[in-house]
Amino acid sequence: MTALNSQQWVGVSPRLRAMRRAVLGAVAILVGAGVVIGFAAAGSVVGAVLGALGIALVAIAGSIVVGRNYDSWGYAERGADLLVTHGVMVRRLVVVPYGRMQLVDVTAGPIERRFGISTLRLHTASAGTDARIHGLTAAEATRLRDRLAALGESQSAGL
Amino acid sequence: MTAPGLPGEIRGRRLHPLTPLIRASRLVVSLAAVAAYNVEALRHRHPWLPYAVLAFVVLGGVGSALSWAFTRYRIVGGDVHVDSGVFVRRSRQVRIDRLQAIDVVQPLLARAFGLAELKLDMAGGAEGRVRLGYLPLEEAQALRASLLAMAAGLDHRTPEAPQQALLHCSGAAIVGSALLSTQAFIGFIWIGGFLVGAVGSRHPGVFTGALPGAVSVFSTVGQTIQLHFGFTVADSPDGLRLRHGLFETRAQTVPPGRVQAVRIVQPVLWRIFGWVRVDANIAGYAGRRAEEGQHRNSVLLPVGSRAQALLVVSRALPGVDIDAVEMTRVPSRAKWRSPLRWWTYRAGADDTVVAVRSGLLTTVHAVMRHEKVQSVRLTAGPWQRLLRLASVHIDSTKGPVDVVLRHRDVGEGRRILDSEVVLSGRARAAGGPERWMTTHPSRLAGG
Repeated sequence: MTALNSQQWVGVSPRLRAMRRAVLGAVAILVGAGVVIGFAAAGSVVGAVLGALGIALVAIAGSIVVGRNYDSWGYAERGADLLVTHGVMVRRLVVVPYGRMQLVDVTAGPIERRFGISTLRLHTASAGTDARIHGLTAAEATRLRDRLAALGESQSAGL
Repeated sequence: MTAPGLPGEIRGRRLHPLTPLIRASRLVVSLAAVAAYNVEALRHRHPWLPYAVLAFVVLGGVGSALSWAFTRYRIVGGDVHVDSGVFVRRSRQVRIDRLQAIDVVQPLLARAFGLAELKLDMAGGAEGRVRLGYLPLEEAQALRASLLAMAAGLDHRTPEAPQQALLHCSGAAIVGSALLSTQAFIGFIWIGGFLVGAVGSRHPGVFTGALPGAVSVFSTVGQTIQLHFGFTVADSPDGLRLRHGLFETRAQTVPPGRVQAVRIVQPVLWRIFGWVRVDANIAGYAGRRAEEGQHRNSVLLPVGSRAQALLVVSRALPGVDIDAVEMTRVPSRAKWRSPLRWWTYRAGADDTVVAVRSGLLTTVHAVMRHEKVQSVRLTAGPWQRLLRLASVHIDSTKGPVDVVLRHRDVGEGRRILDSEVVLSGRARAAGGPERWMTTHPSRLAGG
């Protein structure tokens, strides 16, 4: 058996990182503007500057977290199963045999669509199977979905 | 018993005409209870309310009568179809070869009329459940026999397989086990606490505080007794047969190979009598109730000795000896992550099964065939990673049994994951057929 370490891990699209940073940035700007206006209205320039600095720091920290989380995502297609790994604080690795897949669905929210990425989810008869891949480009998501559906059909096993 | 006049194809048969009455009776009973309880308030404050309730009941009755009139079931080409719906027609199809379990359920009122409901469980939780009810008991039993025969890959006229009684739980054991359950015990402590308080403070009024505890004990104990009273387990070529229930009786048939995973549970107080319980994951049984933490139909043995439990497990998972699996403990550094329980975690695997054991007060011994593994996961939280530990989750279908190898050394966890993937793949490839009689004709003679 091939060791999992020797797998050819495929990362997800950098657009996932871009999307999450954009969302983070937008939220930071909105909150920051609110804080600055609030302090300015109260006549405290020092408060406004400190507030803006604080939010900028939080946003930078968040951006680093987003980057590390993005780096943690990976998946590998093997002969009989799909491997997905992710997580920075809690590391997760899930192995789903193609024969056990019941349903593959691809979703893309409005923000995801804007960035041209989608999320692929694998369902088995178990509720515990937490196999989803965020940040696949639309073409890759379609390719993977079709391939998984075909493999699932050919290797399908009874419950 | 042959199915009298039951052809392989049934076209457009109706349910029993008393069906709407029985369906509506629950509504009537619950409404009547509420009304009786609030009769004074109803009469004084809302004189119109009794009429509204009456209208509601009449409407409900007409509704279920209409729904009965528009419901037909048919069996075509080995599949069960149920057509229903007054305005929106709905046709549900049950693929016989995907059948996970069949129950014949008789609520008290249905029993009085000799009627029963047939519940067909497919994989897929609440959505995968088809109810056929109510039917005369003989018709329900004949239909069950013919469905099981078809699901097994035999002719539908095959008589019901003979069964061999395995064991019976005495009423005393059921009541005793309910009283000694952890939940009931907490209730007793609650009541005792208020009793001591009432005596000590010489204010009898304090004792009223015990009421919630008494209600909780009464309802959990009552529920367990109603559900499990007269529990019998029998084995047949069509699988395990379970019969139980005090007022509402239920006869469950779990065909061979449908049991996904099994666990032997021992709540702390049951150790006094050496009692254990056997639960199973059966695809289709865990519906909405599973999310409420109620696995009412997943019990294979509500109370029994360990020897009896092993007997049931050996029938539920043929060829599995769960005590033969060699188990190992977790590294002692796991005490920093799980100071109380770390020494109770044991896990192991052989060629056919993976088994885990844990629990400080309530001990749980779970076992699962490699063949039934849905997916395998390795997880490591921050604290675990600091200690170089990881947990391996062996995913099964929904149900009470969780197979998790907690806090293994991270390298070992990786090896377990790898080997489980290989073992389960191999077991799946060699897996038996869905129609269980097609490769084991010899089983026909047994029983």
